[in-house]
Amino acid sequence: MQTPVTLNPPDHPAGEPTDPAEIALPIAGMTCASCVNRIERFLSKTPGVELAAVNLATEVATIRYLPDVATRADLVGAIESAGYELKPSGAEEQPDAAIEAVDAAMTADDLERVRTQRALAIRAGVSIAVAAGIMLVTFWPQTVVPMQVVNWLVLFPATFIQVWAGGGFYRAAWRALRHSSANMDSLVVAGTSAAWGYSVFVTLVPQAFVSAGLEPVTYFDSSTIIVGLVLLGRWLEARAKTRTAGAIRRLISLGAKTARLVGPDGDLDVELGTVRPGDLIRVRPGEKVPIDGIVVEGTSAVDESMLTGEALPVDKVVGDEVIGATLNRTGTFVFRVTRVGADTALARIVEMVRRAQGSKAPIQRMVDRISEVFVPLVLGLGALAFILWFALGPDPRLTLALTAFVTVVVIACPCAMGLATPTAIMVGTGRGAEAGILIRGGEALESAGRIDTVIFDKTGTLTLGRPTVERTVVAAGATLADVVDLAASAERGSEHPLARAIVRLANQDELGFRTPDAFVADPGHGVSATVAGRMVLVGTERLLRDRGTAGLDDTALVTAAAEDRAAGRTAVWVAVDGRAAALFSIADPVRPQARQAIADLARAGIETWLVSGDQPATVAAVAEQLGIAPERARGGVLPAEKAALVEEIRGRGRRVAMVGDGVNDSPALASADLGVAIGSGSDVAVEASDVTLVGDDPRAVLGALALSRRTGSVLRQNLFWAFAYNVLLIPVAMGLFYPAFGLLLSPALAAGAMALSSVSVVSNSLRLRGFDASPGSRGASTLVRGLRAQFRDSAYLVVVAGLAVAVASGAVAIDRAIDAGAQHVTLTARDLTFSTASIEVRAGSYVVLDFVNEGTVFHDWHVEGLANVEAGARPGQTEHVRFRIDQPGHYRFDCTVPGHADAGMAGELIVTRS
Amino acid sequence: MNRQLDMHHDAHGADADGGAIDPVCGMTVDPDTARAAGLATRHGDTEYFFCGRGCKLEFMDDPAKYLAADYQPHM
Repeated sequence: MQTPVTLNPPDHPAGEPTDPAEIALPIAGMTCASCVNRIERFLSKTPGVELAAVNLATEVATIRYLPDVATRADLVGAIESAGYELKPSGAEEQPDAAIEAVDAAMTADDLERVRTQRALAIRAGVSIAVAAGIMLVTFWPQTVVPMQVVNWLVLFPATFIQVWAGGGFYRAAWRALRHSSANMDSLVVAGTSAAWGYSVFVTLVPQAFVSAGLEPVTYFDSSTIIVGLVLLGRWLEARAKTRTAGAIRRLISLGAKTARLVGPDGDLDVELGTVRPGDLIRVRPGEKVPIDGIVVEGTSAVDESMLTGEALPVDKVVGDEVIGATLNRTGTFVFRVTRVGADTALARIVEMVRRAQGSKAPIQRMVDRISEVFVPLVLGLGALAFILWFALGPDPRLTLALTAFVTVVVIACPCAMGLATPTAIMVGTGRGAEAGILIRGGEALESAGRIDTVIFDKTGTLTLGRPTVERTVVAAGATLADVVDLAASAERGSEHPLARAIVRLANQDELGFRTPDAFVADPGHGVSATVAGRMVLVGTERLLRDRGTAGLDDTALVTAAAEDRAAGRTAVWVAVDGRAAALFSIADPVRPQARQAIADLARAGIETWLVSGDQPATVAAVAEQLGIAPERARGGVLPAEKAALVEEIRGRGRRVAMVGDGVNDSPALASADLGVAIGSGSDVAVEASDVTLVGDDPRAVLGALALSRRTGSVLRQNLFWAFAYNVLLIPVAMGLFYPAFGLLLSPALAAGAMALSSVSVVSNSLRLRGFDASPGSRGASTLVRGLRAQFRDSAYLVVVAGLAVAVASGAVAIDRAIDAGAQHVTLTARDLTFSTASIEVRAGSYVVLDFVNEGTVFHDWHVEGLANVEAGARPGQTEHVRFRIDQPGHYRFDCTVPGHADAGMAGELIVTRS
Repeated sequence: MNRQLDMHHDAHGADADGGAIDPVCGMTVDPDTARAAGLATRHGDTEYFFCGRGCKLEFMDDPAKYLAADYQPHM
């Protein structure tokens, strides 16, 4: 629920008294949304209440009501009759308590995050190491240690990984299952549990498989490497994400801790928490304004850029509002405190950022979306395989059908799935960083790829943020060089940006280096000084009028002033010796690349907006220069309104990126689909954003979007290819090729699919390195990709697949070659007799033995003293085994089925010296 | 992705976790804690537990509404 927020304090309703007022009441004891609904219902039934929005997370009811119809007591009464009460006023006594609580929670969050990241790294590392060890011992060809002993050896480390490292997947999958849905964790759990469970069973009861004519092979390597790689991917992703909570902490640290209280016995430094509305606070030059209030004495210029992003210091005179956390520049002043604690502008911005960050719906990860469909599909296919084998397959039906079911589930979980997203994100964000585009994690990339609307905050993003004299108009009778020289000399000592603009203009022509006498600054209006014996006044029209300047009705000057007003420029008047002499039109010029940036965005089909807290006339003028449609340029927009505008545009179904640089943009940055902080923006804006552009080139916005789209498409390709190889093996696992080719899923096939998909995914991600995202480059200036580029994309992965097929064919060819050069032996088993009692082979060369079972029961062939030289076949089946024995000698062989050897199924394998 | 929990609205008794379902909002509630906090009430022969006062008061205002077969608990 989005609660409307206003920066207008409740006790200062804007406009006439009949206008609705807004009040925020803290409510205690709410536990769920029902509470929210109930309180909202009771409040809206109260006469005079226009709108009531209750926020469960912040425990605040925001109520818009007519103060002359309903009173605060009526509202409190309504809340109480709903069964709730206001939070004890102790919370108001300690205005900083709420902020401190947020701060403490943030620190705890950070610690927790660091801890989980380290745990992830350790689990991933150990799992991958264990998996590597398991692969080494299970795939190493040897005849020394029997397979069944190897299985027992790896059973324990694999089980440890499954429970210790894989435990998190089980918990997450269980949560998803309770919502009757499936996600990536479900797929990992299904795949690894099937692989691990099947392998444990094979290890414990190998006879069940051997007598079914199956090799007692295990998938422990699959279960551990999947766990390891998926955890590795999670860790990579977690590492790429920087801390979001920092934004709020930095906002809080902006505020001052103490205030100088003006008392009857002189000034007194007090804790900010003890300041009450109505207190008088003194602020000296260079100090932070501690809290919000109204100036009652003195004048000054206050730098509000940390809140507004506005480069110009704002002049403050008696009656003007000052805001806490802003920086006092030039003068000393006293102000009366109007708002404290949670009511201050800063606290409200903190609150808005917190709410916006909390309310942003998390993007459902693409892997989860795939898994949601894939998991039930795989289980269905596994079940189908089970039914087919059970109904049509050979005996023992149950064992074979179960094996088919389990191997389908085993192969369904691609281990490259865990790498598909993080590797693309790592390369993409790395490439962005080189071009000055810092992208915060995968969610930011995913949302950046879908943006169709970009809102720019004018100040500092599209303009230089450095006022420049754009035009000088001279009154009749004055000479330009003369006036520029005098005005710039008078302003030499001033740090005011408008003064700097005039001095820069003069210095270009080597003017303005005289020494002013009797320099007096009139904050908010201008300066007066004597230069070379002449009286010079530089400032507002009002300053000149107040000093009785003549010639203010000069036609040229009056016309220019009117034009400046319309174009949103600042007019600075100059009088020399009591007579109006010239008018400088000063404006903040647009950045040279800004026009190009807007044009590129328009060409890419992206709608651009310009929203600023500046004067509407100024904003309209800048929009016109940039080529932004007038209806999409908004001036005089307050921070809360910026966030509301973002919501409004999002409400029209558009995906909005907000580009800003000031603290006042941070709520909008946080509530947009994509927050982009630009340039040397404030730290807070940077932390509330998803993307930070290091340079100040606005063309980088499109660069970021283009990079995100490319990364997104690589990510989708990765996911496709991660799943493709495994999906291809599903029919094999189901046993569809068994009747024709005797082909079933084996650990070797599963490992091959893993290797292929991992290579495809990682190398495809690395291709992103070729993308140039730097502003102005070809790739970063458009979102549309040529047919050739799109063709290259798919061609690359097809080539990888082709290479894979070539490698596989090569392996098969080598295999065949070994078979062709090997010694061939046929051994036929009939019921209780072997076709020969003596087999002679050469030491050190390959032997292919065809073990044919022509009997009516299961028979096998087992050689004593040689592990892994064995064969077994069901009636009518033939098994091929290949082996090589290096040690010459005589070895006894027999059939291990009880009673068969005694009945005569035995013989001798003679290995002769080669 | 706030998926609607697929549960029966009459599942007020303790479930596998020893938790009870708040009939108004669908949250899982620990019966002992709820009883201790006064967030339990009897209606007919069954004891119902709630996550908070809002739900309990809503329920007591109109129990029939929340026990109706077609009522979907929601947040």
